[in-house]
Amino acid sequence: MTNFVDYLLGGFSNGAVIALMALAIVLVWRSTRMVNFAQVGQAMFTTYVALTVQQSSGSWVLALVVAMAAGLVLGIVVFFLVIRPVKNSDSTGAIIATFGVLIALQAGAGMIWGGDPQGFLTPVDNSGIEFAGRIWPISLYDILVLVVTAALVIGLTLLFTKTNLGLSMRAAAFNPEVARLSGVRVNRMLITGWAIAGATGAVGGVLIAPVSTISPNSFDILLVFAFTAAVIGGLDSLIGAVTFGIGTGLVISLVSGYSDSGNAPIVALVLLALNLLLKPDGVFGHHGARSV
Amino acid sequence: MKTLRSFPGNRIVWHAIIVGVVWLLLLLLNNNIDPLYSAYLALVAMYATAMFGMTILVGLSGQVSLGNGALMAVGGYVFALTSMNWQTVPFFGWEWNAVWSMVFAGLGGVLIGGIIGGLAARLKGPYLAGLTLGVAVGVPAITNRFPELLGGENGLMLTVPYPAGGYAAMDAGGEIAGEADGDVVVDPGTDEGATGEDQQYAELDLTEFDQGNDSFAEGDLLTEGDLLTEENFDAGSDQFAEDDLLTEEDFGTGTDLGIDETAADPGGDAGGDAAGFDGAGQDESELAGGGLIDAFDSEFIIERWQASMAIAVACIVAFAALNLVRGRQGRVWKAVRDDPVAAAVVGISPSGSKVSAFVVSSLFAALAGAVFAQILSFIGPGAFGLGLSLSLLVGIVLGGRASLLGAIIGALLLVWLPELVDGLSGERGWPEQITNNAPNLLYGLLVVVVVLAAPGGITGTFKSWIDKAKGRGRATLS
Amino acid sequence: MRFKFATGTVALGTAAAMALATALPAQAADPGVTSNKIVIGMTTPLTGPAAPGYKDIPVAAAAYFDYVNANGGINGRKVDLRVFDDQYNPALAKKGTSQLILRDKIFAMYGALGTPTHSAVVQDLNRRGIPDLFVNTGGASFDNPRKYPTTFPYFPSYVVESKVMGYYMANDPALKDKVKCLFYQDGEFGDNAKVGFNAAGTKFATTTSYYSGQQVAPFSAQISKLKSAGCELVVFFGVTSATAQLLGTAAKSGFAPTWMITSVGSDPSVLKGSLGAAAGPLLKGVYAPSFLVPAQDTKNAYVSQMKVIASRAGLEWNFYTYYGINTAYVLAQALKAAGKNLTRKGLINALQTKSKNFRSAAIVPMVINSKSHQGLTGYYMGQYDANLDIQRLTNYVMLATSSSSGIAKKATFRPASPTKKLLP
Repeated sequence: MTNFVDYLLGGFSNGAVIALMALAIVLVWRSTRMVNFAQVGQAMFTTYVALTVQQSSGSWVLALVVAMAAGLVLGIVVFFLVIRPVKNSDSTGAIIATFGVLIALQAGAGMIWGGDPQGFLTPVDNSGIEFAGRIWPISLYDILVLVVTAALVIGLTLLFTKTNLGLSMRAAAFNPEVARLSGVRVNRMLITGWAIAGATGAVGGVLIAPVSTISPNSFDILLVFAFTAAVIGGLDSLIGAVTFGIGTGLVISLVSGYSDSGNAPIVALVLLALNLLLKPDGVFGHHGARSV
Repeated sequence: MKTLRSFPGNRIVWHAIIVGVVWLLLLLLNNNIDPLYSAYLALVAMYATAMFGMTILVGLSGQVSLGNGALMAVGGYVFALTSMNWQTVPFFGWEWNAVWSMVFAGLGGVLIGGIIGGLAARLKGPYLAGLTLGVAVGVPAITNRFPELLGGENGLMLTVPYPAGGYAAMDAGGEIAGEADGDVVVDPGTDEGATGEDQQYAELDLTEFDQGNDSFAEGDLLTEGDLLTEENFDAGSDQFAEDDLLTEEDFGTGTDLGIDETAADPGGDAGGDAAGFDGAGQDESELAGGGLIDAFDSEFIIERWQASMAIAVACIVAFAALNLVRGRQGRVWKAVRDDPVAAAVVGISPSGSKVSAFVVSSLFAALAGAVFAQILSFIGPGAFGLGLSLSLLVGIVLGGRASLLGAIIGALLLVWLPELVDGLSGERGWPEQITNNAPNLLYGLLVVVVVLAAPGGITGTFKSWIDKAKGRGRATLS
Repeated sequence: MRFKFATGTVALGTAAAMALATALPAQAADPGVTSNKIVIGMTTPLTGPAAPGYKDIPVAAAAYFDYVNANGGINGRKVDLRVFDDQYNPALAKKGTSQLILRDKIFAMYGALGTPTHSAVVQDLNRRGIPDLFVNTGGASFDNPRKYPTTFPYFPSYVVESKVMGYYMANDPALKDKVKCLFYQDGEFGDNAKVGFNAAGTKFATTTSYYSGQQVAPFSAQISKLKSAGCELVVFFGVTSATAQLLGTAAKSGFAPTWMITSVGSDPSVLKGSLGAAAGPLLKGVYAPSFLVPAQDTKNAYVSQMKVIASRAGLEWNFYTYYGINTAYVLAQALKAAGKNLTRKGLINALQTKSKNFRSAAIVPMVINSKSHQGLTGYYMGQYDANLDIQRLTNYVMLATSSSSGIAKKATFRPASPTKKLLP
């Protein structure tokens, strides 16, 4: 039983980071109805930027802020240079273009920062909390990760439901023609979606970096888990992405503890397949015709 | 011309003639190019085989798959396992050969494709992409679960059915295939995986090192005096003098010590060696591999064989694809892609159409995987990762989705683009970190640029140019 | 694609060859050797997830060859090393090897990295009779002179390593009574470790593993499992980036057993990069076998000289740089021993008959003969100190074979001194 509790606790903070990446994927989906393969590449790149800031200034908060700003800018740049020119004529082409961006970002990071994995300092203590006579596999830092994730989710939910900007963004994504007629500046809304997604991914990168180390390829597998979580959640749903992002983290932890971590991708595939069999539009997804 | 066109079944005949002519031209090409280009040709034919399936799945049926690389792995593993373990065809008892392995690889692809296609037919756009992404990552991971059967991460080395005389066998039976008459036949099924239990290791002769005393004593722990310093070297025979050491002071500029070449030759030692090893001396008999090396038939060019095998499979698949795409089934796929509701009204089952596209593309992918396994003479999860799956999608998008010609152009691009970027980013005296990553950076940017410059893929863009030109022509005519 | 029609060239070449046939001796020269040059090929990851650390090896080897070339070369020939980035992908390794053979016309392969990658090319290299030297993997499958007569591993295999660990754990009074557990990376590492520990008779209280692609999921579940099983000595069989995660996660959980890690799982420079200042305290006291003179032992004539070569080329002094220069040094000696009339058979012969005289920074014997191509045969046991330097614990070494039976044996071995100025 203590093992079970340990496995659950150990999976939480990892799940929170998967949730953040899944959120970024959902945000891009909401704004442009496409999947951005470069999302983890952008997060990797901005995490390197944060690392450079942290090493020179020593401030974790400053590093996080700079990473978010860089993520915002990178999201806008990718949207302007790559997505906008192809999106309307060819949505599959746009997906492939994001794959090209991913390869280029990884190579670029390798050129600038080298290929060796580098560590990232935590702002608060990362050793397990001692409570009731034993050390639990959850640290102050893990709690910070969970708090930041929760704050982001609440903030984004409020943005989309309570503000004009959020409502305009939803309108622009759901039906650009009607939105345009009602006076929404559709293009600006799409850019905003990519920018916010970039910043969200950047936060995820900075939060996972101290645990996993950072290298040009260190977030690759995260893409798969985050995409899986976003799809199971229904792609349109922020709460779905967060729920199943954390769920994925817990499943990985439990599978690693009770059987063998090599089974994790297979279990993830089986759960995904079963889920799509029962809920072809994802758990929190809306029914209705929709295409890429 | 007109009479031929009106002949019953004329379409199939025409397709057969077209494919036959292309096949012959390719074989002619294969026999006249440098073996390196034959190796590339083999890869192009292999990619094209898989991408004909992508044309049907992505282009005609409109289902974006990120997992066809994993379906190639299915074909490759079935080919490897059947050729390694089966001597005869089950139930029928016919003698096994490589064609049977291809057949079973194709069947494996059909089976897995049917399962995934059945799931996928219910899914739209990104959900399908999510499922196939899971397939691309999850299927190769299965090999790690069954290391005994599937060789785990290290994969399996397989016995490729080269023609007799073509391959001096890696004969696991123990004896070197020593005869140089070029008539050595590969012993099937003996060349089991890298971690096969049959491997014999020569016992170490430890007599020169052995202390004879196998117990762990206090004095065995290292002390300062045991450290190997230059003073500590056994100076008996070696005569190690202080100025024999290389130090920073030895250098002027660069790496040249400023010693002349003859002085660098220690004590005529090399002269003696050279005499001993010149030509076919008495030492030749000690060379275990001598026979094997001699048995290599220099007339047989392995790259040509690989290319002709890959071309054969690609042409057969191309013939099947041509008939499907330009026949009734092609229209069915397009109808469902463009308007599933309308298609259902006229009696076409949308999900049936989607599943059939998946099955066909999976069959082609599995055949390509079997070809890939023979080119590599190896099968392992590392060769069939997410990168391969995504490459197939990159190829088909760049080449042009809706036509088989686009698949061929995409296959050419997949082989040629890495060559191009290697050439562009060759030795420039940049720091290692830049030089190492330059090809990948260029490749990524090139993918983006091609998508931007040719939104419908290369064939699509050409087609729109031609349409435009035609439209202009018509406009002036009217 | 640029197709080169070679028919014309072939015809011309044939005519030229016929004209020259009378002037030349009957024996045709092997590809890749001219009177002043030897072309050598290498496939290794320079980019991608497997590149960290290993990407330093080809640069270090090239630095050594530059030094040799500047000082007269080998029997008057300069070594030209061509490297292909295979990203640890067997398909790319195959493509790269084809390019090296057919375009670069290499004389020999050297230092090709990885078991799956090399499995895709080893048959072809042997079929063509191309010497395939010092394959850079601890997988034992390539030591098989009957099957692969031209292939020569160098690295002592993971099976040997686990047998050595098993032997040491059973004999060191400080370790032998501890509750032992095994934590391994799925695939080759784990398979080989299990073979070796099985042969050594090591019993583990519990075993657990991680998936090699599992870079983002921390090892908290595995650590919890080891902790609750009461493990006092944990053997970790994995790569260095995983070691960093392991030590970090264990410290977080307050789990502090005695650690024993593999020689390839403990590169200090990578650990320092990923763990930062915490690396020293975390790594202090960790046991790890090794086979080269400790890299910080600058009083040693090998280390001091190789370090000079690295620093002249502007390279960071780490295990991979050291290892690259060391194998290049052994290769240079083999090429030298093959004589002035350099042929592929001559090189293989030289390795099989003269390797006993080759010098290197290895402090375990190298066994290469017509029956066995094992290469290095064992390890000594070391322990890290707070400066991340490995300190040698045993003045003996432990030797073993890669077979699935037999245990390690204790032996003494004193390497010969290096050649003059580290030239072959």
